[in-house]
Amino acid sequence: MSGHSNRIEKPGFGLLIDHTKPLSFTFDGKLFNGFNGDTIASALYGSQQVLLSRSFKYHRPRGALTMNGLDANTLVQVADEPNVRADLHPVAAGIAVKSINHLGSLQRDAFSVMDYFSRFLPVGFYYKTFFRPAGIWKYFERPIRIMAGLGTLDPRADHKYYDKAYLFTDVLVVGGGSAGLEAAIAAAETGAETLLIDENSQLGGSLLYGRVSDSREAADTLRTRLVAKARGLEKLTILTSTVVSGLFSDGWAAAIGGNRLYKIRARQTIVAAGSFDQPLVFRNNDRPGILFATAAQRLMRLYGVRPGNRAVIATSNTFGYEAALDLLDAGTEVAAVIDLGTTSGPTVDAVRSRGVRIVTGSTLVDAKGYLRVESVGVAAITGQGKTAAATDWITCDCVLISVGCSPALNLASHAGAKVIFDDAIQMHRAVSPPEGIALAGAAAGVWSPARVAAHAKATGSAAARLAAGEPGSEPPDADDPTAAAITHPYPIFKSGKGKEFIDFDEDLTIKDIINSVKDGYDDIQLVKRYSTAGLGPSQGRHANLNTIRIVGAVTGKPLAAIGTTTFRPPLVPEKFAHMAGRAFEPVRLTSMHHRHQELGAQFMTAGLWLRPAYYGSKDDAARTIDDEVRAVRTAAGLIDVSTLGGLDIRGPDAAAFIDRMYTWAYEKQPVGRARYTLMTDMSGVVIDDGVACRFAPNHYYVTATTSAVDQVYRAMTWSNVQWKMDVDVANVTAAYSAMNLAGPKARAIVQTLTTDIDFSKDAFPYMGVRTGTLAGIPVRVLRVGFVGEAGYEIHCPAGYGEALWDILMTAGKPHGLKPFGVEAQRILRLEKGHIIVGQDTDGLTNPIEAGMDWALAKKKPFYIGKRSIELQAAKGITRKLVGFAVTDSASPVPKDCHLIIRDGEIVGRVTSVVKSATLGKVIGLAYLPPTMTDAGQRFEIRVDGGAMVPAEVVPTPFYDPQNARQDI
Amino acid sequence: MTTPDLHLRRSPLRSALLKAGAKWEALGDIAVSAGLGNEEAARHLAITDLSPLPRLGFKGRETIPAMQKRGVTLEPTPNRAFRQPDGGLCLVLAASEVILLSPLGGDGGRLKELHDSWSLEAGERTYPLLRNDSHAWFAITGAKASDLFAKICGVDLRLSRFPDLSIAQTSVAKLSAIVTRADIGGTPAFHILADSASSLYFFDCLIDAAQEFGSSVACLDVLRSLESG
Repeated sequence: MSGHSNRIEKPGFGLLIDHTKPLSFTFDGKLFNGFNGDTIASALYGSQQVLLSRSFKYHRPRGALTMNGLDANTLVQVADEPNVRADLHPVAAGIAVKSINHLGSLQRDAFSVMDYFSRFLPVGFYYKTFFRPAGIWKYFERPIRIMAGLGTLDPRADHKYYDKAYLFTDVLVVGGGSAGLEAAIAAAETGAETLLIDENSQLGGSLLYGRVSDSREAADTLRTRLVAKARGLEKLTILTSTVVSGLFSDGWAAAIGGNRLYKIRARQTIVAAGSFDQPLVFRNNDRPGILFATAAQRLMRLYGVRPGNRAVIATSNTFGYEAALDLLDAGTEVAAVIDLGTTSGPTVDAVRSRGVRIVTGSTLVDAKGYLRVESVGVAAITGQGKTAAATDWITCDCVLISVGCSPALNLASHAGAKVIFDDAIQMHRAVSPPEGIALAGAAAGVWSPARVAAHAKATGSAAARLAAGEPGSEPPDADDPTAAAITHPYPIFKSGKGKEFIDFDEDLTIKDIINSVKDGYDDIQLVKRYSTAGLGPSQGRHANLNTIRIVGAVTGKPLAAIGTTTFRPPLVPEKFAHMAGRAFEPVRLTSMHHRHQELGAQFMTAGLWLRPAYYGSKDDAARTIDDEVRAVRTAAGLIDVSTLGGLDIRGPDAAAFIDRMYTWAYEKQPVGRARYTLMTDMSGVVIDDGVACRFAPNHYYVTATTSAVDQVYRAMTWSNVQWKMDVDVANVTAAYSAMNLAGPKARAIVQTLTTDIDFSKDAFPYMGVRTGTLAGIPVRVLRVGFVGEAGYEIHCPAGYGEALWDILMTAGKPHGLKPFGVEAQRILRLEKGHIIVGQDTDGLTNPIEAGMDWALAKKKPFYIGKRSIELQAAKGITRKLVGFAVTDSASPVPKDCHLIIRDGEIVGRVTSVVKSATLGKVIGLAYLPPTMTDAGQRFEIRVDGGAMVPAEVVPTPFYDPQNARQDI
Repeated sequence: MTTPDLHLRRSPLRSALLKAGAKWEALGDIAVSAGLGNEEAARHLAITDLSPLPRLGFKGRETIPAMQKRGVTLEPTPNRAFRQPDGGLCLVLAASEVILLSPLGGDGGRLKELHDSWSLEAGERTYPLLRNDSHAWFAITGAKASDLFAKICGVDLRLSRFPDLSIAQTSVAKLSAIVTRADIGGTPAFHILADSASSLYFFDCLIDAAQEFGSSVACLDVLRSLESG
């Protein structure tokens, strides 16, 4: 067990922890105690473990700064999760927490030697080093990569569940402090559906740990009253432990709560996000134990942890004195209050009356101690940023800083508010917020409790009225003279020895910012990029203002003229998992899917569909596929083709419409017949094919390829709108199941079933189409032959698909029927020389190149792409799709897209290739120059490894060239 | 009692419903799940597969007058649903398209009559669509229904903002869907029509999204009980 307890056993301390529920966890392998409700950092602090991490560049020891998840000092690794903010993450029994960014132990980090080399790592050093002489980078890269980065990603980490949710509200209030609560209550009471979001587990903001008019009791009473009222309002929804990470146009907000990303749509948004404490800049101001006064108050009030035994407070406002009172109440000795100015008032008097030494007009100028502050040097302030020599060293083990704030304007800025520096209050202020955005509380520049309440209430009710569409309900002006007493104008004191940190994340000192300007980067945006100020995990919350002050001092410009860097979402770290959320990846299954599973199908994707590739073990795929091919060629096979697109084209103009959409002629197509369809786009490129079945003079059922049917449907509906034809187009793909019964036994099989369709050869010829019933199921039957055998493509309403499959499989069993998959179909169709659009064509293929000129109607005046195709025909083609066979049976089998080489030049490519068991050779389709397309012409294909495989042009179809088998 | 395989028409969800503990009852030419859920759960949050119930679509430029001529209760107001005298619903999706949903009793007689009374030869510019087969039909019932939708749909479907008989044609769990609110016996009820081929995926998404609210899978009998009050 490590450390002695530093807990406060008094009423009014430890609001969030349950003393009756102790727990243990490990930090760097050592056992620590905590309580239920603790964060990792509070539990460690409670056990005197103040050192939490090492800094990014110089590996300086660091401890908690904000106790509110706003700094990088508390980043730790928890199991497989990197970059966990220890001051926000609840501690849990048994968790293993590790510190990060050190070599060796946290206490004895070997990388801390970097601190001694800081003079060799000036600002922007990485722009000037590591690239000369040529090739030197590779010697730097490995050690830099070892040293860089915080935390460790575990690629074997368990998949965790993240998701997203939409929320809609009239008024969104960001921040559950006193201003946010008042605004939300007012909005809800005015009648608006209101959503209040706060990042902490308990509502109240600074009321949870701070004081109102010197009184802790007053703060607690106010919080209790406001929270009770808020929770009692029906129209007010409250989300705690959720942080709004970005505001966007049109009232959109993003928020992170646990493993969920909320996408929020609000008519009005009130930003009551409070403010960020600003550091006092002096030598060694980053030592563990030096923390913001509010962080110390959080430790005491929320977690019952004493920040130290002997404290020094550096302040320029009453908040520092209030913290002194809290320390005294908690039992911590307050060695001194160092007041940068001459703060006065009852709070100061109260501190003084309790015997605390108060030193005015002075500041801290140095700190001693390494792993924890041991003493601080105090000196009188002699001018802006100037002091006398330190004459007074005060022993202490904690230092509280309260020298000013910066309003949390990030979110308002995301939404489009302009941020300006207000000299009167020495803080930034948001002006001209866009419609739908208002600010309240400290974010609006309102600080005194009475004014906060009045302003927030008025802002809340105005937002509610605006959300309801009431005109003239503008939010009130934010004007609070007390704001001028919050922030010291220049809490930056250069020692001459360095190590006065401006940006704790990036280890940037006063000198680094000054040198950035001296290097010529005098615009604040350039300073940010050159120095990296504000680029760390804190995103400049504690660095921006002081950086601006230094730039102003060096350039002589007023701060209002310096401007600010740009605030960009997200406000807090968002994980990729948050953005990914729960994956929604639709999968389409045919009606027969479960039957395919039962038959042992191996599935492949086709768009969103899953299709059986073949039926059997992966280990025996080639033989299985050959068996399926053989069954179709010798007996019968059944393939699920439900994924094919189906479009019903109905209306008086149906034939004329089809005629314009497809390249062939359809107006004279007889009812009861199917005709091949080829679709081209306006540039004459082949985009789809299928068949058009004419079931009635004004009804066509058109099939389309699986992947292109949505595109075809869009093209048809778009064209129909343009042409205003009297026709209706309906995509009925999902409404129909379809299966292709193919093979010499196909007719015999269907003829065993009860049907009102005459399946005899003469009554139902090749390319005929029929409607009727088969085994009691309504069907559309197409006698088409993609695989080159007699067969029937049977379409039925999807709900009947499985039953029809079962019936056909049963009826076919005595005939040797086997199910076959897409792999067998690819072989069968290639043996027949049929192309697959998208595989044997590409984004430039025209019908002439693809050898489809027979499907181009020459006489009709128009089809989409006709003009382009005619121009291409007149110009002549540069390639042509031909069949080929590999001439050396011992050669390796080429693959799709292997190149055809002649005289060292690429002259073509293979589009499809298979080893045909039926034909006993390797066959395929390939693009070749027109001069090489005569049957018998030889060429070579370069295969994997560079070997050249001889092949020759072969006429298609390879199989059954007379087309006799599909017509039996 | 029956089993789905004894019927020629089958719900693509039967394997999932079987896992949920469904028993089966015959409803015309299809088996419908039974024995799932209860009224109290359905008033809180429940998912029910209504896919076995009859439904029919009509599409075409004369659809609205053609339906009015046949006595269907509707107005030419897109994205509005209209309750029919028999308890069914007519969803007006556009000036040229409607979907008719049967009453929860499952009587498809009226829809069959509408289908059979149509003929291509008549030349009416309205054309039937097999919505039984193209679209699965789910009901999400209960006070927490909007919370479920918040996780899978970007449209504001809060009960206060999406009143009874509203329709949203939108994306739900990345799937095109028609969402209709048509309360059942005072219980908020959202009817979703979505691609039947994706129905197993969609059902999984609904179950997953509903889990945190303590949802259940219900059956037609439960909704009928809600309806009868």
